[in-house]
Amino acid sequence: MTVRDSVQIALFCAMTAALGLVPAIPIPFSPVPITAQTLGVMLSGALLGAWRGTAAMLLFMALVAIGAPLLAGGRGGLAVFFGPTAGFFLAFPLAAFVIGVLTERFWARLGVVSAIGINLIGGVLVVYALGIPLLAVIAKIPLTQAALGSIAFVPGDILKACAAAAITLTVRRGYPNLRGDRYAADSGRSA
Amino acid sequence: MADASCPELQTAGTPRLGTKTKVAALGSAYAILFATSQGWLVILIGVLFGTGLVLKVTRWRQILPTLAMAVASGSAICAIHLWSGTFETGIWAALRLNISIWGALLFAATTSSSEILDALEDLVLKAGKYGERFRLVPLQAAMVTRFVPVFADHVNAMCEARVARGARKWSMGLAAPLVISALRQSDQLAEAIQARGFDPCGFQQRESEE
Repeated sequence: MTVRDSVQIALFCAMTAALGLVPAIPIPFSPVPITAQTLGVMLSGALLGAWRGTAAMLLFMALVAIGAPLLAGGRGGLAVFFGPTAGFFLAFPLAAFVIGVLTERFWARLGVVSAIGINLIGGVLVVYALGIPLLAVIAKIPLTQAALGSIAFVPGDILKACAAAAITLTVRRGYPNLRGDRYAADSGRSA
Repeated sequence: MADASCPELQTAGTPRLGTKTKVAALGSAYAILFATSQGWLVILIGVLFGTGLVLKVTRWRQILPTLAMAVASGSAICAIHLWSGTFETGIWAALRLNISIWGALLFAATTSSSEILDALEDLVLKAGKYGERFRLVPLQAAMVTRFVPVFADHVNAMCEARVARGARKWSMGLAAPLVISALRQSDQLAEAIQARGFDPCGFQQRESEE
């Protein structure tokens, strides 16, 4: 890990926090407006890669744990880890890792469909796979009830996955030195 | 790290426990809270946390949103259990949830972030060579604290520019220039750090050896 990697980890953590300050966007086909914070999670994994993206999210969790109001709505502190949405928050590093692994694997031939698929797997499936069971455990409700209660958020998250894919492809074109010479040298593919 | 003025909750001037002692006590209380089936233990921990909050918190307005979230979540849990016919289970689940949040709020009220980072740095130093890679974490925390307002201002400027052009305030596409800005600033910052020779983890020494 280089100094550049460490700084990118910190700044993507800051960017994820800043995206939490964006006002929620109402969408016509869902009762729940979407927030941009999980967009930062998906972008951290897609643009920084598996390990750096995960490190950025772990740093984010550590700062929230010590009380920094970095979550959407200015929330922070240990209380977040015991609320009903704790599972969705704890899934951030895992989501970034899965998205990072898949994006690195398909980086050279990354297209719109593959990018959307990767973000859906990491940013939606993985997050809900951890969030819903933990919600059921904390609230002591059946798993099916917890799943039904989370369905309202799915359309917004799918939209976010599509947006993250589009942004990843845009940044890849607009910032050719994204992965640094090390990645290009390791894989023999252009960044 | 220097103990700068912290915007967190202010506390009354009373003797303070060390951060590690508080973490150990909080961890033990949580272990008992979620493992026990004895109702009186749950209520006792709740009374202790609640009393601590009343004695220690002076700026109640800062913790009201979190308390409101805890009450709302507890009410939702009770409503779901009432509908399922397990109201008593729902009451205890809601109570445990609220008490755990009170404990977290009490910890936040009595511990500044710089004290936590000092304790973390101490832990990293005691970890010896295994903790070397984490010595940059306090610096990274400082960078996050420094750059969140910078990116927030960037987001506000982009939103105002969109509104001035007659569009909706925020669009997901605005995240792309924010990301590119973050990447460019990270490159500049990394170059500035290297130019000043700051290298607590020996990164540059390892790179020159490779």
